[in-house]
Amino acid sequence: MRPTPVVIIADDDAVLSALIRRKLTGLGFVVHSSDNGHHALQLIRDLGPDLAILDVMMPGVNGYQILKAMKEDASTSNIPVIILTSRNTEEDLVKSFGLGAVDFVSKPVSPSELAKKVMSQVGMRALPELNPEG
Amino acid sequence: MTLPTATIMAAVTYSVFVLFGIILLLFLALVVLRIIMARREGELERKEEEIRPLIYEIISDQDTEKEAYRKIRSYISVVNRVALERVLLECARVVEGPEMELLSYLFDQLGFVDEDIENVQLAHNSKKAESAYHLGVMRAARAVPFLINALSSDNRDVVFASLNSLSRIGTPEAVRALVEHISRDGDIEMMRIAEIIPSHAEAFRPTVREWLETGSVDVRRQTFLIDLGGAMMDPLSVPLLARYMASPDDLVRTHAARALGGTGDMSASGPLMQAMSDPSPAVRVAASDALGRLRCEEAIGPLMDGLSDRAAEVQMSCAFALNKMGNDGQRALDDGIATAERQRAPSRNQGQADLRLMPGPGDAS
Repeated sequence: MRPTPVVIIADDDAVLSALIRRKLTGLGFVVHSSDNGHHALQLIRDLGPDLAILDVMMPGVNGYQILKAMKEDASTSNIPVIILTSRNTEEDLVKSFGLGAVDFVSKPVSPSELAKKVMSQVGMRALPELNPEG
Repeated sequence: MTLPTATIMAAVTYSVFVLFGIILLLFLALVVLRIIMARREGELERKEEEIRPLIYEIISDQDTEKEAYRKIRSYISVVNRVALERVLLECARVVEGPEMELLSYLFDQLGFVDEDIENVQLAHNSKKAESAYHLGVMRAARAVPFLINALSSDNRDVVFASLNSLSRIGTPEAVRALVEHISRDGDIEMMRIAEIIPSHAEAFRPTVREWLETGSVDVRRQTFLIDLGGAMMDPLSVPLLARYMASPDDLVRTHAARALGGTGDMSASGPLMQAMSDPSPAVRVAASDALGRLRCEEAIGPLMDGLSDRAAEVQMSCAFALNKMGNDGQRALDDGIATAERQRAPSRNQGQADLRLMPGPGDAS
């Protein structure tokens, strides 16, 4: 893991994206955001972030399509993904986990609660590197 | 006495010029008004841009309520009040939890709640509706009695905004008033409020069951009630929804099958398995999809039969449903596909043999 973990937020809601970005930046993350799916996928491929937060409903490529493309690409398949959605249905939950998301958050969102989930996921990923023996 | 033609012509020409002048002046006035409005909006947006970083900082850094209030009073001028309210509202629309609690406190302390309560009582209808909506976004619990009063307005926008806000505020008093109003109001658009607040589903369930019991002669309303019955995820509504599976209307049966799946209750699997032999393919698709959503293992047999249904869309739906049912379902799907292939193979061979027996273009009859 890099000394400063990198997170990518893909959400076309500028206010929510800015609030999450501000929260994570305050906690020491480097945050890149995008308001459309194509650009977000490109950022993920170029930067190889430590975690991606993907909104389901976005213009162009939606969050599920990005997640699927990430899982099909060996260079991005291990990046943990948190899905954000305003549709809090069991179907969405099942779909998110079925496609390989590590967590699922329904809107409206508490940025501090989301930040805890991000820290937990990034921390979990760091463990093997911190403890190479175990 | 008759006027000379020249005078009449001069009067007409003069009138045309005056009329043209008036139209031109009106047009200019409209253009000036548009420019003033655009400038004001631009000015407001500029002020919002200035305010946003501070508000984002306050929300993200999770300042204490008093500290957040102090910062706003110190750094944001009173003249930027409208812009401040707009920025706080846009944040309140997307956050919840501790951030929303902080925003609620700020709305109250900064006087926005009082302003909107006053508007809900006194303003003209469009302002009243806007303020009623704002009070919900602000989660202003002390506005509940005023929003309940606004439910008696003749204006549907005011009523809808008040219902929406009562559902957002969600205190027991607000939800009780909401359920009472919706059960009296027959308007589908108003009833949709019940659909968009699954968090209050428990409070709505008895009312929705009553609606399902009574039913409606209007198919649009009937299918809406059935959808609502499914959205409530209420096991007690299963027998009521199952009754609609006997409707002569294909559309009603299709919605009922979908709603039965939406209840998430296994007791819905019986009527759904029966519906797998419904004459309408749309009903069979809805039933198989619902069985898949319920992950009902008892339905694996009927769903396997559905793989050889005469309608391709039913076959697809059954395959998707089996795929949702874990290892057993996927094994059944593999077996079903293999069986269907075997069944198709002889008929294909038979078909090829028949083709060979048919007289070709060059054959003499």
